[in-house]
Amino acid sequence: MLMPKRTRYRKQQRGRRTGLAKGHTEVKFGEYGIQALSAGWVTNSQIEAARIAITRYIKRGGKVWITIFPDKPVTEKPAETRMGSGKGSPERWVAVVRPGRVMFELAGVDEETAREAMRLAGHKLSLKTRFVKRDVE
Amino acid sequence: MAAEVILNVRSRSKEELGSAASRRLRRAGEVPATIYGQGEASRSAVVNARELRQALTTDAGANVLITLSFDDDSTDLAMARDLVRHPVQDIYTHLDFLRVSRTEKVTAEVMVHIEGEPIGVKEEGGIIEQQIHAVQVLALPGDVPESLKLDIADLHVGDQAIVSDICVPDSVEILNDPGTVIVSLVTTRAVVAALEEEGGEQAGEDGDGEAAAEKD
Repeated sequence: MLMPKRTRYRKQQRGRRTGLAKGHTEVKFGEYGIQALSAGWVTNSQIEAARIAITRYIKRGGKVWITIFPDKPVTEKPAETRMGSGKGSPERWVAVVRPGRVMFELAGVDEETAREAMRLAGHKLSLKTRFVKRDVE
Repeated sequence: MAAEVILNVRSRSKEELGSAASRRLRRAGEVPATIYGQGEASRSAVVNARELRQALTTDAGANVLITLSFDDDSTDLAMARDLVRHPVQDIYTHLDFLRVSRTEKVTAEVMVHIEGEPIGVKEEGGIIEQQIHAVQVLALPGDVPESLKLDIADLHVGDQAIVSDICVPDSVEILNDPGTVIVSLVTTRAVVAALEEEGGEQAGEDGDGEAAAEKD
């Protein structure tokens, strides 16, 4: 699963998820994409599940781009632990996604296949999403 | 060739400049814009969002030639540049207008449309990988093409179509490096594995048939 090879600090603060995506708000690599309409943390396992859903549906032919990367560590305290004694240990990696961000891109398949593949992928992500096409202007 | 439209533009007063004022304008259904070029002073303006959308949805796309008609009865010939869209809503939040002259060449970005289904896709299980979708062209404002066509019907897996393969009219010059790859036909590991499997199955079936024939 996707995660950074090495990081400067093991733990991070949670941060805020307000506002809109600053970059990659349009399809840049492929023909079709899936765009976030709400903010959230997308875990590396969700990204992997979505990738598998897309590649299984398109079977062969077609190319998939993952345009988010889970570079934020999320810590958790063990169950039934008393509060205090420091921050918990890193448990998973997430990508911070804000509305407008294109998360997956797809090329080499027809639109109907791409729509269905992206619908299936959208169900694996904890965000509201929509199908987007490359701007042809 | 580029279509031509007329767009009503209102100059922005001093009170309508700045981010807060721009937000108010957007809420009121207007789009802030900047007009510059041709050695003249730049000016801030406002266009109606609906009229702007109509102007930019002609066949010429974003390369449409626009006659800006100001509220003080002056006019400018311009082309839209640097369109900024809202990340989620399908609206323009800002744009630039580049003043142009009918007799001076301008650079413009033109989409490349691929035509034809390559042999490599039909028969060899390849997939089309388009590296660039638009090229920079130099042409007179009235000669900027709506799009450029690239025929890729003869491509096999492993072949590439480059910028110099695009057919362009004499009045248009492409500024990109002629060797830049636009489309390449590639194959994936999944396709190779599937083709090998199919080949293996067919060979197996042929082998069984021969064995059966020998038995008979």
